[in-house]
Amino acid sequence: MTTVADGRHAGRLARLRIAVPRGILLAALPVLLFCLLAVIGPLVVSYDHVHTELLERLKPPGTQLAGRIAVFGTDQVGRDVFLQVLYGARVSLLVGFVTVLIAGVAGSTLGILAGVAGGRTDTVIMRAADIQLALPAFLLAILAASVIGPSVTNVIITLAVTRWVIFARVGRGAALAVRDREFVDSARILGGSPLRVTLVHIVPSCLAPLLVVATSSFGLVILAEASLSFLGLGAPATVPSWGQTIANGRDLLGTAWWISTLPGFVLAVVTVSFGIFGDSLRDVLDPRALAR
Amino acid sequence: MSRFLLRRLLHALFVVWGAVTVIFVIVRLVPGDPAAVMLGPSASPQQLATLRERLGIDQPLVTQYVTYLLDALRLDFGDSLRLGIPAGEAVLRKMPPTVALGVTALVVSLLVSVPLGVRATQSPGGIVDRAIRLLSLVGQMVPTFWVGIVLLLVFSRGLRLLPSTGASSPAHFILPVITLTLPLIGTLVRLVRAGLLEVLDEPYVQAARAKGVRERTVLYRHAVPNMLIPVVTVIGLMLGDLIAGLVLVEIVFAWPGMGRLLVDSISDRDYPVVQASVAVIALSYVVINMFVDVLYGVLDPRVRLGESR
Repeated sequence: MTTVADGRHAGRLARLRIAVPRGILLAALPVLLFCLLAVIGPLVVSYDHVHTELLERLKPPGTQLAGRIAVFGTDQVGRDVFLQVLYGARVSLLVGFVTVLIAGVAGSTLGILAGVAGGRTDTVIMRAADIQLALPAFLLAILAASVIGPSVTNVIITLAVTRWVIFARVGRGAALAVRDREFVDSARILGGSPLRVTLVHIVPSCLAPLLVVATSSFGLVILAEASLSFLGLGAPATVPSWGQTIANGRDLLGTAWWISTLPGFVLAVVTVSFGIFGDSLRDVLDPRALAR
Repeated sequence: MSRFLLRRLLHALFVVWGAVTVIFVIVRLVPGDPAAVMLGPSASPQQLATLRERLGIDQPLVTQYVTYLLDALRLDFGDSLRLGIPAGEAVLRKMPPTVALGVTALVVSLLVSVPLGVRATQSPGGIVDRAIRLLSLVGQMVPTFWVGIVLLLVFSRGLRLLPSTGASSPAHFILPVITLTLPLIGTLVRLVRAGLLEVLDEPYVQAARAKGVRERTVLYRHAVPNMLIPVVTVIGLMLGDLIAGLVLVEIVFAWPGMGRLLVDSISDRDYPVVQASVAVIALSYVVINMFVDVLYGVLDPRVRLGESR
């Protein structure tokens, strides 16, 4: 009788783990599309951000231009808004990817180190994280960008500096949670060196929560980059970026609504999709959250 | 209690020192000559030397740091290059509109989030719950400045219902406040929902139900106040997002506050004002977080008792 009940229980658990919420597929689609377009788009269509076409200025979406249709219309100097979005996606993807990579690797390493080592190492690392939080992240990014000047590299550096703390905290928490579990103790007793125990037994258990943080960070970093570029403190004026295109159309809302709103809509879809994707990922990777 | 207060105060002082030092490090240690950046490429060597002397950047770094700390204590960051008045004063003058906008947004988002969060817990996992969860996620991730632009376009340009920019009447608050509250509500609803689900299992809630208290009273008199205690701490942390939102919203709606002053000063290379605004905002951030911590200790004795041990 018990075996039957146990078997049924195990079956239910197994199904719970495999059951992928539909949300994750729906959210993964725009995320994938965005990455694909950002990588392939600029290879297929050419666009010169400095080139202006004054005869084609402020054309509404759908206007037939020489050889193509301006799906999102054109801006006040005749540049195709859709192509700006396509090329701007490259900046967003680059900044998002590199920032999350730097902040993620540095933050996770420091966090797991703090959790595993404990003691003074833990105190020093977490105190540094506290000081980092003394200034609101966005304020720090504005200040740094205003001093160093707008450039894609600077945006990546400032955003990575403001972002590592969350990875460190989550990594530390995850490491603390498994540090004293039986399988880790067994590995230690069997003679595993501290480095081996950490890399082989502790780190894999920390990956799931860190992956969730990485996904939602990706969306937040893209949002932060667009916000900085919107204020003129992100990508330089010579590089097309979403925030800059949106800022560009702000004074023309009455005559050309499309310049700000359409690229903004694309940005919103991408950031929200990353958010939903990260959220569903948490549900899949942490089955306990589903049961709640 | 006094030990708890003292600890909090010391911690806040430490954090303020950290924040002010970070500003110094960023502004002074970044390669490049601040005088050259402020005056632009057309400045003569004479002008550069004068400004360097005025800013004190011809002094050794340690001397600069000490002078800077002493000046920062009095919020003295030099005169604004553009406005001709002390930078600290210029910033404080622009503070009331920003505070008014921020406080209104915070209050409105609490008033909306609590009932929404309560509603979400009534059928956990149900359609309403999932819709609220999805919408809160959308609110958190949607770009603030784009929402502001769309609202402007629809309600001000299109329907001509509301004023577009400025801050001269209560109607001017409506669009900026809606824009600001969306991400705040997104975060708060999830907190309220999670906090309430935890509290609803507590024995005192069961006891209240067993006594035959109406469900509404159980929720709003017993469960919500206890759930709000952890929410209070998170409000302190949410302040960082609120500040970012305020800067963007002030730009979109031409709101005459500190955020717009900060961004304008950056493009005008008015560095004393940039430093003063960042310092004032960071200081308010730390002070409010300290108050929140103390409030947390007052509301929940376990916090301050747990710490003094």
